[in-house]
Amino acid sequence: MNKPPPPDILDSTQPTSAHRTMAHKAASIASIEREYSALPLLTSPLIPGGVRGTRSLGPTPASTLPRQLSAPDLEEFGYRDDDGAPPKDVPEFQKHADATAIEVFYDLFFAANLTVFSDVTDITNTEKLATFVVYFSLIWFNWALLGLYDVRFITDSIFGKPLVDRTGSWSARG
Amino acid sequence: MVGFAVICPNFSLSAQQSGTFQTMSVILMTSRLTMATQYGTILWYCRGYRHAKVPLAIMIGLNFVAGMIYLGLGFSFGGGQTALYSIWFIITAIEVLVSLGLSLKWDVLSFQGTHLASRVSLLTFILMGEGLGLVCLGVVRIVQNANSWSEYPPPLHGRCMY
Repeated sequence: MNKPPPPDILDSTQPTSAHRTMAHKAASIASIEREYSALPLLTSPLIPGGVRGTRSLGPTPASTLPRQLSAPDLEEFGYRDDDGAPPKDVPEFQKHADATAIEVFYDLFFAANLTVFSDVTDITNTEKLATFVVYFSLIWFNWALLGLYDVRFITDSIFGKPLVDRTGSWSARG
Repeated sequence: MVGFAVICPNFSLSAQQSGTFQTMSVILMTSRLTMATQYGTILWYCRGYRHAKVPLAIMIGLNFVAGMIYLGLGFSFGGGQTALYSIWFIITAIEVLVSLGLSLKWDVLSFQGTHLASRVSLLTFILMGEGLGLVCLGVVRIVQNANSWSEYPPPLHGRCMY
């Protein structure tokens, strides 16, 4: 497993308390900078550090930073889930505990489409019902395929933002 | 998604317009090609991992092939009544099944620990909210035109309201 080098902040943790407070201050400044920096074009969906065992539930990597500083290296205790075998060469992605705002926004688009469709067509006979079912299942399957991607790999980046309209036409991007 | 809204006024199975169905097909193609690009970026970030490349490449290929099929299907809506739109569903169903199957087989595509269930329940809630709005609107219309149920012939304003 090719383990990427730890960030510089972790390297600066020294046993002396002065150094430790310095490191904490540097860590908090770094997290603030990461939180308020400009939105990058592309963000990696992988957990920074890529170490198996640091499973984060927060949306930003900054929230995992203090835990990494204080928690012991769990890899020293072996791997409980697959009989002590080292993990396979598989990346670990960011996991979100709940739906992110951009996903909910996309859901609203879906609902708006459905409302518009039921506004323009009154379902009065079997053919119109069939039309409604066809239309609904088309946009639902589209939503589902997109949702399957989103729950696994969505990131907070410019490339991730216009995904709201990536199923629609390019004109929606304006 | 706005593209879907453009389509919906003329989307009808009983009176098919070829332009509408062609637009729908092209929109579906755009969606799949964009998804292929998306998986491509993920593949780029996972390029260092041995066990991640194959499934992601399969996902890219799947989306690309589906997009091409939708494009080809767009040309075949020449006019008149066809049942070609059912191919949309066949392709989409295959896509969903293959995606789920791949996610079972490979760890990279696994849904373990993701918020998939919360996504689906959230969408259900939103849809139910929209449906409740429509139901309340119907009730209000009935109450507004209460006389039209009991009188015959119905009063003019009752017929005009609807």
